[in-house]
Amino acid sequence: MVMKEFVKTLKRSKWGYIFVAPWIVGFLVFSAYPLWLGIKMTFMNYNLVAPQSMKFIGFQNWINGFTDPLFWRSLLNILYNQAIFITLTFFIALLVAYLLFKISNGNKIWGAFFRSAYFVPTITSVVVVMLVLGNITAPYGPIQTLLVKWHILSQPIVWNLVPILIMPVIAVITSWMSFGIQAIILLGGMGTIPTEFTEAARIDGARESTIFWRIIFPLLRPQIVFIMVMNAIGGLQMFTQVYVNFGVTGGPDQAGMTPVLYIYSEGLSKFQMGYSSTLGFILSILIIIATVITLKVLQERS
Amino acid sequence: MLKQERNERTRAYIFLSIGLIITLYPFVLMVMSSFMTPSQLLNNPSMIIPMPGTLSGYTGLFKDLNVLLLFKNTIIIAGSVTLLNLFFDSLAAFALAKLKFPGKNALFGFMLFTLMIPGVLFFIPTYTMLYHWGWVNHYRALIIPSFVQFYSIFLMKQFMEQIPDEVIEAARIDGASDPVIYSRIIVPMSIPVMATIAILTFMGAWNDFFGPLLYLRSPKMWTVQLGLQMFSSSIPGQNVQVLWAGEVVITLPILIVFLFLQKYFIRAFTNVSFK
Amino acid sequence: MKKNLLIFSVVLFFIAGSMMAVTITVAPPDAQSFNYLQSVIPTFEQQNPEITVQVVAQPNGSQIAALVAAGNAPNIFIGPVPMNYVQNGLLLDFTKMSGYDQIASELITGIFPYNNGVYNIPWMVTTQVMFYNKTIFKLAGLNPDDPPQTFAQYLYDAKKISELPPGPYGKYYGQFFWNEELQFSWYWGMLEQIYYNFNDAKYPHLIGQYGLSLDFTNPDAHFVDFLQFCKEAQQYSSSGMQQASIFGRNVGMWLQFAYGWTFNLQNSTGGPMIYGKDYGLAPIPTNSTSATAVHWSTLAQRPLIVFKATPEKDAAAWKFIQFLMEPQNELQACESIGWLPSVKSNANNAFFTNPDVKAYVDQLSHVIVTNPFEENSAVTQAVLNGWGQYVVSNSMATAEQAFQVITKNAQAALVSGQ
Repeated sequence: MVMKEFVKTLKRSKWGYIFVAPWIVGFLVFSAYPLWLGIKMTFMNYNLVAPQSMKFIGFQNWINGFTDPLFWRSLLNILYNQAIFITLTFFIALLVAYLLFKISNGNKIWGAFFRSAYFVPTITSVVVVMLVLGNITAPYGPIQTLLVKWHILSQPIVWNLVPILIMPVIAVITSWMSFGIQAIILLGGMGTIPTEFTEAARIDGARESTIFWRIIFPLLRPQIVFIMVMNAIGGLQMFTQVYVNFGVTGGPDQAGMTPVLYIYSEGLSKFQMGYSSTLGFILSILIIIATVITLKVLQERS
Repeated sequence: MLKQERNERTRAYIFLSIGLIITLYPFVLMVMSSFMTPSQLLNNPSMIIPMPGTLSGYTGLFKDLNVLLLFKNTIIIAGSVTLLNLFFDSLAAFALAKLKFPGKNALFGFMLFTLMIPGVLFFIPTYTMLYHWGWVNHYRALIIPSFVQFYSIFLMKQFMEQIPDEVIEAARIDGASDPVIYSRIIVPMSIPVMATIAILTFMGAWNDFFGPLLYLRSPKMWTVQLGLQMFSSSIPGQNVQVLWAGEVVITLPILIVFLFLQKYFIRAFTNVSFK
Repeated sequence: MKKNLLIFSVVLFFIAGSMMAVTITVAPPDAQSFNYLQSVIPTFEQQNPEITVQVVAQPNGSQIAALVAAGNAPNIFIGPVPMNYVQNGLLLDFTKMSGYDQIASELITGIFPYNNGVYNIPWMVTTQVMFYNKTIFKLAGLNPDDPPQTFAQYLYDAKKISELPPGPYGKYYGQFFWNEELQFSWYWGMLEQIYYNFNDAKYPHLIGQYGLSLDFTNPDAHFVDFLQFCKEAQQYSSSGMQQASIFGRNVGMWLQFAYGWTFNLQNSTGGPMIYGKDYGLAPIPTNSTSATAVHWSTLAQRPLIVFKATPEKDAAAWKFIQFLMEPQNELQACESIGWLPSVKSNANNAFFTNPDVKAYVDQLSHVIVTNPFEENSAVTQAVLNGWGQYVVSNSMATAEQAFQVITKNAQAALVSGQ
């Protein structure tokens, strides 16, 4: 009897399974299998270019990973970077989304133009962005030249050489690249807010900032949660910006070293695949923790 | 329309226009640099407002770089990845959003977890695997492994959950099977999110540099990003205006497509959330 | 009759099999070498019908590892790779190939050996000399045919130039350091020649021969003097190539691997710069006042290296290398790619006796052949960082202080084994 019910359920769900099957197959072949190899490697001492010397070493890689000062340094670096990046990008995106929202009732063409214009930084490839913005922020570049002219700086700074400046500058550059997509997400959210709410407040004589912070902002909760979770997942994995700028050494005092850059360098420069995989999994665990914390904090006050 | 609202709108226009300067300045710089002569590019102090002077950057693209071939290759790869993703991702998203089957939630949760694993861990085992299958120097090495992407499925699922269940129930009562519901109801109603995924996927494949670097050995198969990179000289200065022109030309197609599809973008990102 | 035919065809099959086609890949570093290789490969393939050569994109440093792991590394790689690859036995030792001795004896400079083997053949080479702007020299009241030979003279000339009032191209700078590149460890390759001329090339490496000690900390290496010189020279320097450069006609002197910069010379502000009229070339100054002092420089190169594959492929790769090193091919490469000759017989070729090139070729006889493989980037980075902080950022008061900091950081880097 139970069996018959079970079979009936399966039969009814058949299309569900068929539709997700391609994705599952793709996942098994291209993700699960490499992952499984990766997990096995964490228990091995595996020299990438001398695979015959592979040797089982138990938990040694894991112990080394948890006690590796450079790995934790890289985590500190990325947290420093993300603290600045997340705050800066979010508030800029919020402002831009609100402004775009305000003009969305107006001329359609201008609306489309501004929305596209603010999205341009996101479409540009990271390599191009680092190239162009690297030029702009360079000591001889336009920004510093102007700052010197206006006497804000006494002389140009080679920010690439100053450990404490590296992460903030990269955060600002990444911010330029990412605020567009966050703004679009927030804009979408603003579009779903019933106009009655804002109309009512306006009739009551509320000021613009009150309307924004008391009505609009709280209703953006789903979008904010999404953005913050994607920040937690993606931001902690930052790699291309620092790789293009410093190569695998991580810059002066390793101030530009991020966890993924370190994983990359251990595996591909020093050929220590076992250790590199271990660090990768440790990082994944940390990302999961960060995501869970973010979700808990943001969904607390419902 | 209240006067207050109209004032707020005007103010918004003003702020947005000012903000444009910061947002677009690097891009403007890029475009202007593509029109400069090598001498200007090398010797121009601080380039706050570059002055254009020549088209040699652009002619060089077609003459020295064979940019049409690069475009063709990149379109083949990016286009295939996009089409495959549109089909397979929407199927999976439909199943997750609207169909019932045991294990659905566990599956979704597990897949979410895979986003959190740094891609660098997959990189070498995948390369070794594809090399042993003989896929190196074929387009399929860049297309097949990317034929489904979880991020796209996730976005589509969020959107499809908005589709009213009543519509689907009505179709079922009329005797429609799931595949028919998919093609007659889900797809037409999901155009916004599908347009969005099309753009994002195409853009990702278009901007990919490391993939082609590893898998496309022969110059006849290079993509635009790879070809441009390989074109650079060891000597700073040589061909630099062609490189800038190349960067502009690479970015333009995506920009134009986005201009036309951007209203779908916004609709698609509405109501993304974690429930 | 039939049986004989059968035996005959079997034998033929085996003979043909032993000459079976081999395909090798070669990975050049830039567009010019790429084009050059495409142009000569047909000739090579004609001479060697069983070998096919394919040019591929050059993977960047760390991705070579992925290719090696899969067994798909390029057979010939043109450029430096990390020392790791040599140490793990992945590269072909050329001393074991027949014909090596002949090639080695043909080279103008030496080759960098490793553990009694040779794993690189210098092909694209260049060295550093001093560019100086004759017009500016004249303006400053300096003799345009008497470039500075000691560091003291260099500083004196730089100071006089920077005291000039601004001219048609803007403010004049005495000299120039390419500080934008300080974040990359290869940049030490530019500064090291200055350093070596402070100790007559007796300490031509940062790290000692067995990788255990820091050579530059020895007082006879005069590292502190080197730092002080750079600091003072920086005073007369612009803050970046955009602001002022030799090609902008507003910099007096520049120490550079400049041979390949012909393109920039032709595109200088206000028209091409002519050798002898607008600019001159001289060896890098030294700290010795003796008339017979040697002016040193280093050999910068994109060497030919071979990743070991099968014996047939290794042999085919070696054949191609021998082809490239034949004097007429080498000459053609130098002319089209824009590098200096590695082969003795080409040094006297008419192309290289041009006065604007001869200075470089002459300098090749005073070249230190340094390690062409990238190594110990953490130590180099520590040195470059300290240099940058002292010379450019002014965050350390004296050269001695900077030297202490650099020593400490380099020691830490050495110990951590990077």
